[in-house]
Amino acid sequence: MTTQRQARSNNKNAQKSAGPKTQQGKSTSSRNARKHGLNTKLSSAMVLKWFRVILNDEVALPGPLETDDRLQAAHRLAEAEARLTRARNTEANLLNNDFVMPGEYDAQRIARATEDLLIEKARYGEWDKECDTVFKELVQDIRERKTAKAKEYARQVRIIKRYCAEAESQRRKAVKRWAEVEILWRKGLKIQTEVGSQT
Amino acid sequence: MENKKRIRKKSIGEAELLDLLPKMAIFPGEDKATFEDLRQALLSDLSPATPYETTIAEKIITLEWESHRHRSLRDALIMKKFKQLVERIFSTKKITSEYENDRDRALSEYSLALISSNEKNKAIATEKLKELGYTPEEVLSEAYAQVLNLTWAHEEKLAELELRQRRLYDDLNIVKRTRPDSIEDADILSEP
Repeated sequence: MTTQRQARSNNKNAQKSAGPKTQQGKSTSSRNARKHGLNTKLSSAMVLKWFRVILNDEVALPGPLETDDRLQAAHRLAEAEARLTRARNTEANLLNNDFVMPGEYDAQRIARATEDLLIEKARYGEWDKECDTVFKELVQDIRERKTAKAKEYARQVRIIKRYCAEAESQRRKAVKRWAEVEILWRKGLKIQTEVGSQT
Repeated sequence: MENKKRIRKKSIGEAELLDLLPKMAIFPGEDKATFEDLRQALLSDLSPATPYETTIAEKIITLEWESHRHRSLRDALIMKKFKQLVERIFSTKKITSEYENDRDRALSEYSLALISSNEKNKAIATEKLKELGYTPEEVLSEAYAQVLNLTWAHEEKLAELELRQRRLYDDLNIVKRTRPDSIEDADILSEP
């Protein structure tokens, strides 16, 4: 059990090296818990771009969202689109980048190990039991690592697919809401135009 | 006209849309011109009228191309296995043909002819296959069964893409309903 003296000492030592000191280190460690970044805040620039595209207005700004149903619906749809785009990009990056590298690395590793073992064989004669064991262990190690990697990959794909499905569902609801509000707004616009032209 | 305020609204141009449109990579063996043809055909069919409709239409196009890609990859796997099986049949059975003394040539030409688009050569190769007691359908179904563990990934992806595409078509139709009714000689002057 830790004595009081040890605890005090641990505490004191911990104060001396509590985390990264440099700005770069702090920035790196701030991303330690980050898995895929899909829970982070959406980029406001991206949301604004979608907002303007939905309204077909290059200078539109999400102004009084609380009072204007149309802007609120457009903003909700813009957020849903931005969220879905981010999820789909993350999915594409995972498929394109993360699954290619380990195979190449393993191939290099096997080639190096085989070369070493062949040199050993040339030096000591026969491919003895020891060589055999070393090679089998290497293959087993790679196989286990690959299985673990494949499991982790499958887990990540599952998570991201869930985010994509969630984002898509939100977008569909937001599209329906936007269409309802937009149709009403257009009707209002038409009535006003007609009244205006009569007076 | 003097009292009426014109809408101060600047429509979205193509440049603003670029960031939001899905990026489509053309893979080795794919043809950019074919993609462009498909894109133009679908765009003319979907006829998007607003930038938002355009983004949905472009997503549908991307999904259509992806589906096309997975169908091609799946078919390539089946055809490769089909060719291997035909080669095996021709190499193990006696070929009753003018190529009898040149087995390798016969093997290669017949198996290639079976998967080619040249109907005349295909018919000759099919006859030779039948002489050996096989029909192309039998070999093809065997090929399909043997690559099932490889093609399922494509089949799964195709089902997912089809569902996403169907949803996007629904969304596009919903968005299209918000288009303003065209009133002849109308002049929209101010927002409500």
